[in-house]
Amino acid sequence: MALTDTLIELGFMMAIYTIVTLSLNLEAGYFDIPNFGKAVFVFIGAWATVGIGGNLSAYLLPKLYPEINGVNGVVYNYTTGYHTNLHAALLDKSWSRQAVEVINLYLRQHPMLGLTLLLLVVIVGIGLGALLGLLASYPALRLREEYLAILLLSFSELMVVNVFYQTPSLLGPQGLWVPDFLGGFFIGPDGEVDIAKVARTFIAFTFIGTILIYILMERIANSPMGRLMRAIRDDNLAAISYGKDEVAVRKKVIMLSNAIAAFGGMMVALKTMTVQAMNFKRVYYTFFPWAMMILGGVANNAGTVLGVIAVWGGTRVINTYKNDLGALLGISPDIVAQFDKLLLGILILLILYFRPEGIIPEKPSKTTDFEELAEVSWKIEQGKLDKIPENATSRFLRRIKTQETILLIIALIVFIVWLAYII
Amino acid sequence: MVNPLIAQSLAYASGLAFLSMGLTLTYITTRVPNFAHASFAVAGMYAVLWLTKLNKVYEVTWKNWIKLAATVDKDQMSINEFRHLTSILSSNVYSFDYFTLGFPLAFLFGAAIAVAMYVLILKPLADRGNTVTGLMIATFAFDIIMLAVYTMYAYSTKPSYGAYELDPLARYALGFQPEIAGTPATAIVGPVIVLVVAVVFWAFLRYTKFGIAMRAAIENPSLAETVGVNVKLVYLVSWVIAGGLAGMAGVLLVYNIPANPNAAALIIVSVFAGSIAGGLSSIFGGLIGGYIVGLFELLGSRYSGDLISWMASGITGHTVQVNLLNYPKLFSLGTIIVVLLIFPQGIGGIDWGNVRKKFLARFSRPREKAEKAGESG
Repeated sequence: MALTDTLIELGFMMAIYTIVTLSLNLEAGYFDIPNFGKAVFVFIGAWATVGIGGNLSAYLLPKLYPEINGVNGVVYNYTTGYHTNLHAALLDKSWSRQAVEVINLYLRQHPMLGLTLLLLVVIVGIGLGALLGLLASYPALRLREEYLAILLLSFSELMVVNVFYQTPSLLGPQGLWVPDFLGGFFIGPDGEVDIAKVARTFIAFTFIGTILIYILMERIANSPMGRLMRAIRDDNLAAISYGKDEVAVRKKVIMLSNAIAAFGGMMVALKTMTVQAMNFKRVYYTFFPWAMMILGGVANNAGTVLGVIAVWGGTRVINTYKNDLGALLGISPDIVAQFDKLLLGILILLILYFRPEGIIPEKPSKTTDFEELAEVSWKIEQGKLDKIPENATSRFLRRIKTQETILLIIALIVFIVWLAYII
Repeated sequence: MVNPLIAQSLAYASGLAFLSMGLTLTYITTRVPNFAHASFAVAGMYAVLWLTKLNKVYEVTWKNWIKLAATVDKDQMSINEFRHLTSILSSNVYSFDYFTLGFPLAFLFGAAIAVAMYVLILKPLADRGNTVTGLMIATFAFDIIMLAVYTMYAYSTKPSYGAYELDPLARYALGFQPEIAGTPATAIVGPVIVLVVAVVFWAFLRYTKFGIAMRAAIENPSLAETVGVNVKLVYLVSWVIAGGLAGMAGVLLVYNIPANPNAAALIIVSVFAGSIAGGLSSIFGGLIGGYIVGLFELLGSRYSGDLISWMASGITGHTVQVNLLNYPKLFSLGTIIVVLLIFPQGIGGIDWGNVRKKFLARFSRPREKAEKAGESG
C-alpha cells in the first residue's frame, strides 16, 4: 500500500507539472511569449482557494448560520481569548487554523454548500489566471522578448515573494489552510472526515483534468489556430502582411495558457490543503517547467510529458534517497538535496548545447494529408469512386482521433477506479 | 551621525549601481539579459566571509562562541547572552581590511565566475546559434546552479544552522560593520568607490586605446572587427569588468541586506530595474539607474507610506496608517513598468544635447529669437 501511495503522490505532482508545462509550451513553445513569471500564474490559482474560498466561506457561513460568531470555545485561543468574528479569526495568525476548522465543521454538515463553494473557487481561480494573463498581454504586445521576460520575472517575484508573503490579509508568511470543501461527502463510519478520500478525489480529478488539457493542447496545436501561432512565432511580419491579427492571437494565447496554469496551482492547493507563498518560488514553478519543456522538446506536447517525467522523476529520486546517497558519498543529506538543482542546471545547459530541439523535436502540425486527398480526387476523376469517403480526409487526423480515444479511455478508467475507491 | 536608513540606502544603492552598470555592460556586448548577474554579487559576499575567517581574531571569538554555545541552548539564548556574544565579536572583528582586501578579492571572485559563465556557457551557446530565449534560459540555469553551489557550501560550513545564512558567526560579525565618524562605513565607502570606479572607467573608455576599441566594438562589432579590433577579447574584458563590479557590490551589500545563498534571487529584480531605468544601453545610465532604484526602494518605501498616511488622514479626517516598509520591490517593479511603457529609452537614452538646445531655445533672449526668425524667414 505504501508503494501505491508513493506512486500516486509521484503521479500527482507529475500531472501538476504536466498541466503547468503544457500551458508554458502553448505560450513559449508554439508561440513566442517567454513567460519567465509562470510562478505567479500558478500561484494565483492556488491563492483562489484560500483568498476566495476561505474568505468567502468565513463571510458567508456566519450570515447563513449566525450562531457561529461568538460561540464559546469554537474559535478559542488560550492566550488572547475569543474572536467573535470568524473572518477576523481566519486572518489572525494564531487563530487561522481554528477558524478553518470551524468552517470545515459547517461545510461538513452542508455538503452541497461546500460543493457550490468549490465550483465557485474553480471558476474564479481560472478566471483570475485568465485576468492576470490579460494584464500581462498588455506589455506582451509592446515589448521585445527580453524586456518582456524581465518584466514578467520581476512581476512574479514581487507578487509571490513580496506582496503575498508580507501581507497577512492576503496570505502572510505562515500561509493559510484550505477549507475542506468536499468534507461532507466523505464522512467515515466514525463520523470523521476521511481525509485520504478527499485527497484521492482531487488527485483523480487532476489526472482527468490533465488528460483533457492534453487533448485540448493537441487539438489547438493541430488546428488552424496552432498553425497561425507558429506562423507568427516564426515570422510575425509575414503573418501580419497576410492579414492575420497578431494582437488578438497573443491575447487569446496568454489568457488561455495562464488560466490553465492557475488550474494547476489550484489543484495543488486543494490536494495539499495548505497554501504558502514560499512554496511557489520561481525555482519550482518557473525554472522547472522551462527545464521540462526544453528537455522534452519545445513545441511538442508529447515531449513535454516526457520532460516532466524525466525531470520530476530524477528530482524525486534524489530527494527520496538523499540520506542513503549522503551516507554513500560521505556528505550531509542537505547537500545531496541540492543535487537536483545542480544537475538540472547542468543538464539544461548540455541540452541547449547538444540538442536545442529537445528529446522529441517539433513536428509539422497534423493537418489534411494532401497526398491522400489528391489520390482520392484522382480516383473520383477516374470514376473508381463516386464521392469522397467519410474517413478518407486524412490519416493524420485519424491518428489524432485514435490518440484522443485512448486518452479518454484512460480518463474513464481513472474515474471508475476513483468511484470504486470512494464507494 | 547620519540617519541609519539613509546610510543603509546609500550603501545599498551603491551596490545596485555597480550591479546595474555591469548588467548593462554585458547586455550591450552579448545582447542577453543575464538572470545570473546577482549571483556574482553573492560571490563577493563570500569573499568578505572568507576574509572574516582568515582573521586571527575570528578563531579566538570562534572559540568563545563554542564555549558559550556549549553552556546555553542556542534556541533559548536570552537577549543578554546574545548581546554579550555580539559585543565580544564587535570589539574584535571590526577591521578595515574588509574594504582594502575585500574589494580586490571580491572583484577576482566575481570576475572569475562571470568569465567562466561567458566562456563556458554563453559564448558556445551563442556560437551554436541559440535564440535569445535559449540564452536567457541558459543564464537562468546558471543562476540555479550557483544557488545550489552556494547552498551546498552554506550547509557544509554549519549544517545545523540551515542554508539561510552564509555562516552563523559571520552573520553576527557582519551585523556590526566598521564605522567612520559614527556612520556605517559602507555608506561612505560605497558612494566614494562608485565615483572612483566610474571616473576610472570613463577615463579608460575615453583615453586608452583599448577603451576606444571597446567602445567601437560595442557600437558596431563587425565594423570594429574589420578595422582590426579584437572583438572577442573586448567582450571577454567586458565580462571581467561586469563580474568584478558585481563582486564589489557584494562587499557593500553583505552588510545591508540579509546575506545568504538566496540573496541573488532577492536583488535581481532591483538590478534589472536599475539597468532598465538607465535604458539598458548606456553604462553610466545603468549607474545612475542603480542609484535611483536603490534610493527609491528604501527611502520611498519608508517615506511614501508616511506621505500616503498623512494625505489619507487629511482627506478622511481619521488617522490612517499606511506602511509600505515591507514592499520595497514594489518600487522597483514600478520603475520597470514606468520606464518600459512610457520612455523605453531610459535615462541613458536621453539625448542631452538636444535637451540643452531645446532648453536654450526656450529661454534665449528675444533678439536672438528675432534673428533666428529672420534667418528662417
